[in-house]
Amino acid sequence: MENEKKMITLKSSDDVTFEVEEAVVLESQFLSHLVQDCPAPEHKIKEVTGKILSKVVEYCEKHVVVVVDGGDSSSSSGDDLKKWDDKFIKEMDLSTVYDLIAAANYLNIQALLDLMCQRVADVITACKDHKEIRETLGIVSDYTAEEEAEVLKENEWAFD
Amino acid sequence: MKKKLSRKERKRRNKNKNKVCGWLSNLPDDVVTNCLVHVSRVDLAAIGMTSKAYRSLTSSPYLWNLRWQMNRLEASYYVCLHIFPEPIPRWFILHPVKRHLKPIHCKFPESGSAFVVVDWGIFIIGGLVNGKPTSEVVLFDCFEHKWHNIPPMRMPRASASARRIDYKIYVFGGCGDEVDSSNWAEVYDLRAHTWEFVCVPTSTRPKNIKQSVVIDNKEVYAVDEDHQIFSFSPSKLFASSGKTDSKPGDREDWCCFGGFLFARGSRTILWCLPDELDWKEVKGLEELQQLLVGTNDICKLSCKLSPNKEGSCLVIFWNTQPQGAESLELWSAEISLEKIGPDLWGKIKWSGSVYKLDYPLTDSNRVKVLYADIALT
Repeated sequence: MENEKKMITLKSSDDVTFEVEEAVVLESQFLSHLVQDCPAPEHKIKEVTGKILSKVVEYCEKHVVVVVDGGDSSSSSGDDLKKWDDKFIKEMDLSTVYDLIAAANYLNIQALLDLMCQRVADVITACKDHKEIRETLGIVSDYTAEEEAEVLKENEWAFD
Repeated sequence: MKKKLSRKERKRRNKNKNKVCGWLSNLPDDVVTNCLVHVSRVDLAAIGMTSKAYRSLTSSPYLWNLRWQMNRLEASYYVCLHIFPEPIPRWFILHPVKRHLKPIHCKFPESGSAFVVVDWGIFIIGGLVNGKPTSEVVLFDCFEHKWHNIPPMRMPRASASARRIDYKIYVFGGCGDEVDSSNWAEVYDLRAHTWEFVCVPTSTRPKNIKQSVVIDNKEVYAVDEDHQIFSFSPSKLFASSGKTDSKPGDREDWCCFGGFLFARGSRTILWCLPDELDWKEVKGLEELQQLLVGTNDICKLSCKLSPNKEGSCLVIFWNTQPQGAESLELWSAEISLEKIGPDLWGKIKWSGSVYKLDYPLTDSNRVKVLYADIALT
């Protein structure tokens, strides 16, 4: 017999609500502490928008390990999960990736943070040089012309 | 547990005055660093060129430590070449994709330095400055590509032997006529950053070490000019093993890898068990013999010990002129090894030109490989 699952409501900064099982919430260190310390049925997360929170919930629901009676795990197998993760990050535009990193960091969900950081690393790796990295990550150089020439010289070894 | 020289101990993490800008600007530095952990060494160099704040993050000791913890360090291959007739040696890094030696900027004694690599850094110990032995020691930081001054040795030394056991670097000899049992050897403590003399009685020490190699991170094997084998350990100091390395022929660049000792003969690679010193040729290298036809002898043998063991191999270098007499090239080959029955078999995993010069090979024009080893970056 399956116990009745405890449900918790999460509310985003722009008042979008998500009703999730407690096990899903426990994927986040931050929310685990929050629901333990403050057993209210609804929790407002002021730092995260509805758009991003929906992604967080989607990820956590997929990754939560639910052990039902009989010891069989209903969570996805490793390979399936990996495929799902790949699809999950591939479909995302970069601005969502950055917001999701900030959310994963704030909510303290290490696996999601690592996954998103890997995505940023992949984006950097795909750039052909530092100029393209600047463009992609929106970095404005603060080097003077002389400093830049110096840095280029020091890093000459890394070029083709 | 892998022993590592912490980069934090030496240098506190810089507080960034400049905050990173762009998309990642609203994230704390340690989250941005988390992204950089997954990026290759070459790409880190490119990110460092984007802005000052990124440069500071990509060379921070904190990033190196995190890469170490997450098993993300790369084996970068550093090589020191003396390209004659240039007056002083120069440093290079092997580009991991292009497989060419790329120059890196450095200062350097004229010759006769001893080298010890410790994780991310290469200690360059003594050598000749203006023709005189120096006590100076510098540490080349392979992650930041920066030089750090290390406290000088108590004695000036050139052509000394230097080997590391645990957190100590032992330096033997190289101090000319002023030598006695109290100053012949000294030791650098990597954690205390201090040099101390090690008293070695004249009667038990080798006479001019020709080869030395660390076995199992426990003892140093040293061969002196009379081919006597000595073993050195921090507790027992020097003791003659009673053995002689007596087989005829050249054996240079001793190194230890996978429990075997290796040395370079003129055109062959030799191996033996450290206790037996019964040198044999590594078999299966007919392909290498073909590569060496019409070239100079092998000029350097080194072990490339990768952080993941599968990548480990032997690396050799030689001078050659495949484009004719007007140009000189330094070639290299990476050789993996397999023990089959009583023999060791080598297989060339890669070979090719790693450096080209536009002048001919003569007795005075050639490339000498002074040092070749990996550093973890």
